Amino acid sequence: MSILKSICLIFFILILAALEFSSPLIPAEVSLIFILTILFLIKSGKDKIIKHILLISICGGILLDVYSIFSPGLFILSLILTIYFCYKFLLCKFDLNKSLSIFVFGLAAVLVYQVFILLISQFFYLINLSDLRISFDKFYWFALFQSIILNALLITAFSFVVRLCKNWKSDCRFLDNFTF
Amino acid sequence: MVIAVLLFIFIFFLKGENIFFNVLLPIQKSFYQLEAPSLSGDEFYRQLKIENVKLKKIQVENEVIRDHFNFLDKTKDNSVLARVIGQKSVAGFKWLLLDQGADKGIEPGLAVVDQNGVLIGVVVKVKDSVSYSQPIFDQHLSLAVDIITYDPLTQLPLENDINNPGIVSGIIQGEYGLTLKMKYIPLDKRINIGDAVITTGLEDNIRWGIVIGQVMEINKKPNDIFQEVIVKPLLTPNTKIVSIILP
Repeated sequence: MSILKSICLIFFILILAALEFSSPLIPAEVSLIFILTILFLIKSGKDKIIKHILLISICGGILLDVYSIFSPGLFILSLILTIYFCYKFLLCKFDLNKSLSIFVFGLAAVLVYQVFILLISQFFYLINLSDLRISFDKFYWFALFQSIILNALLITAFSFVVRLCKNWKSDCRFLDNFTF
Repeated sequence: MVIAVLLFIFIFFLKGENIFFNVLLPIQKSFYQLEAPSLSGDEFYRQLKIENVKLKKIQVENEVIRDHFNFLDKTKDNSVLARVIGQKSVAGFKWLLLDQGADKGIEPGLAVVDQNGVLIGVVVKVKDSVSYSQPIFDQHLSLAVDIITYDPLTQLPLENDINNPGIVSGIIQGEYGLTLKMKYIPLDKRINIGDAVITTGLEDNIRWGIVIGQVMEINKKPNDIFQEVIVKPLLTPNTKIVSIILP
């Protein structure tokens, strides 16, 4: 992984974080950094986990923690554990060439991410690291449902666009063989 | 892994996060701004219209800031003006990002008000150059409040309490991010629709008398010990410039 690519990726994550927290167009439940992590995971496939994913998880998690009211470490841990869980247990169960499959994978990934946020925040509350405790009321379930659907839809949409661009690129290269 | 741990310690315990705030604040401010109306027309008039809209934006901002100072002049509160530069919602928790922090004297627990002096949230966390405010609609925020009750005919305070005529105390909480519900009001207290709801002063850094809203609906069930009141908040929606009232 070249240093230049890593620096560009870090800048991109910074811009994403600014967009996520400040753009009025993006709903508050959408996590662009999480979506970027999952897209890289889908791109890497089932064979190997690329270092870019760890870089995004750590840098993105740090930014999410800096801008949140929760204790530091919650989002970093949640992102890293989600990536590990998805890579180990979920990726092998889905065909990542089909949009419906990617949508279901996105739903599962967001659910896992929210579960880790819940567990880690409750743990931090238990050991007195944080005053904030997530309560299981109707508002939590409503927010959870919104978050899962929105993030999964965006993961599907972006992965579809990426695949479309890849197919268009390979078609152009194929057509180049027939020019005189 | 060692580098990640050192980075974590530097950012969260040695105030390294200020680097992110200093770099990202100008970008965030440019995203989260007052909106300008859309433009049309040919090039010459288009340029004039663009200038006109920019001036109108500045005018709107000036009017909002003037309203803030008018309110603060009347109440003689010490305060800090801040811009809302972002918002986020995770697991049912919602918070706003404000561009002033501990270096301006802001502490957790302070009231955040709009240009009319209506409470819109409470500061929950503070860093050197930013602070985080929980809006009053957030269901995890509970505030002790008073209802000022008056007889609509005589305009005299209702005799709910001998020591505090005209005042009924309770706890207010947000619901669905849209309304406020005031709970634990004893059944024998008389409340009218339209009564004013204000802060009670029992919270550590929030004084008595900051306006929250008006009573919209009263729920009384015969078998309950307490009655509930739905409060219509009087805050200005989507406020971009707020005042944080210092103790």
